[in-house]
Amino acid sequence: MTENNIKLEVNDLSFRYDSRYVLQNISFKVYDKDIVTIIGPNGGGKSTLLKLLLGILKPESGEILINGQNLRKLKKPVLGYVPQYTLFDPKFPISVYETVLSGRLRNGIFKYSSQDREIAHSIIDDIGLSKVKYNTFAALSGGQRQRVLIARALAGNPEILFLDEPTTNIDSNTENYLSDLLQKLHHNLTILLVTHDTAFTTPFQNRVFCINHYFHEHPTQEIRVGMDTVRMVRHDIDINGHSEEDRHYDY
Amino acid sequence: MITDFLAALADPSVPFIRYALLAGLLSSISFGMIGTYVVVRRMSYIVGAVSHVALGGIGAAILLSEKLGMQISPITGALVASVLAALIISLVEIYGNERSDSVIGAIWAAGMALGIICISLSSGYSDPMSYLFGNILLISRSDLITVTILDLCVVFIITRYYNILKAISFDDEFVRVRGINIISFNILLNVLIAITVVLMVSFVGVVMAIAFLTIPAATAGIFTKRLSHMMTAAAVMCIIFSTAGLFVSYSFDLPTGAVTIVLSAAVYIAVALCSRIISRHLK
Repeated sequence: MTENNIKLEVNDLSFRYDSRYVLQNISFKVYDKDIVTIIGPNGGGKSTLLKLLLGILKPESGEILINGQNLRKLKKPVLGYVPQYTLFDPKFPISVYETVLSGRLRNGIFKYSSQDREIAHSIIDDIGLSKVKYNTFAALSGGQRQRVLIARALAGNPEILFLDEPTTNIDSNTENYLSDLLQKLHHNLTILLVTHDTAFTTPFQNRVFCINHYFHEHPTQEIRVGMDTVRMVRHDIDINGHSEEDRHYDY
Repeated sequence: MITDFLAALADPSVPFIRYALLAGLLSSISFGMIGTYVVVRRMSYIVGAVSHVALGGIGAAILLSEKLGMQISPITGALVASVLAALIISLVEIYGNERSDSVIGAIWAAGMALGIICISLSSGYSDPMSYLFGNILLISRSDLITVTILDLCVVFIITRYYNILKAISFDDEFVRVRGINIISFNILLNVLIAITVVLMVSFVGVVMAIAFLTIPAATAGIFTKRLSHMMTAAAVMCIIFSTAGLFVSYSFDLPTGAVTIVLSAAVYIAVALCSRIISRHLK
């Protein structure tokens, strides 16, 4: 990896809720076409890091650079976000097509063009949801909803795709489908996944970030061996100078 | 009864019936649109606070007009107070902590209390009950003009920003990631709620505005599957409920606001029960 193809750079990032630091002095670089898994215990700061990287939260200190530019000064949206489908109102009256089309929204453009509509149709077809295109989002299965949210993120033509626990409450068929899809997308996109499911990400990840208030990058090969080495990851976080009270893990 | 009602509508000596009908018809479009957002975003507590603060504005307008000789109509007072409350609530939501609901509750109660005090300090010419529960006798010709202008503003803004408001209502974090300033749209929606509440404050009163803004939209939500359909159905129901409420209240000499809300609630319960029965049969 060269310094020229750094997609995402985080320098000395810290964040706290009131007086309690959730993340401290986080620094890392993500390169073009990297596929990064972010793991860590509950309450360790994974979701907070994701929200900081997406610009949803403001850091206490430090900087986030996308393609060398400050995240908050980006001219056009280059980030795609796939949240957990379980967080959505199950009664919200919106169709699959409308949901995917909303991925084309951008600052100052509030009416969809014919090109926006074509892109939404095309992505829905590509992701295998043509038959349910005009169904209500709420009427879909968990796996289908997750695919719709991925389609919505892809509709915005992102350069970096963030996924938050993409395998939560989905069946094994959808999990296999997602795994194949992410491997295909990885040829054109940089991908960061927050997950507890290391078995899901192992076949395609090339880097593993461990977050437990602090940051540690773990050699991916050791994760591949199995759960014993996941315990080594926990050990690695611990020996990086963090207190006993942080040691609450539930992989 | 229907012929009597139609005769009253055509009778130039009782313009308030005609004004009430027009006020109901005009504001129904805004109520359908804004009510839909209130229901899908679960914002009824904001409606409650804003509508009760409107009473503070009404009271202040009456008092200032009487004591200082300023010509401020109650509807203008309600509009200013409601929009101010909407802006304060927006700031509390943006910058406040997790206890923002307590602040909103305080604004709700304080606004209403201020209104009662102002009205009691006035000469007693105004009856607080008229504003609390609505009184169609209060709707003047100039109020109708104000309602028309406000209604057009709300419909224009909601139509223009329909896509963005729908996307924010579904998933605000995603819209934020797309580089769109969702804070300004949330403030805009709160202000539009405030304006819409004022449209019907003379018809249903501040206490029941929350019901008229939520019940038709909630009823529409039972049988519609798109936000735009829900808005249309809610607006049609607002038209039907306000007209039917006016007709029944005129025919049986009952308070219009209360009759309108009872009719709306009865239809909501009936539709919800029918929907349950139908979905059980289909299973």
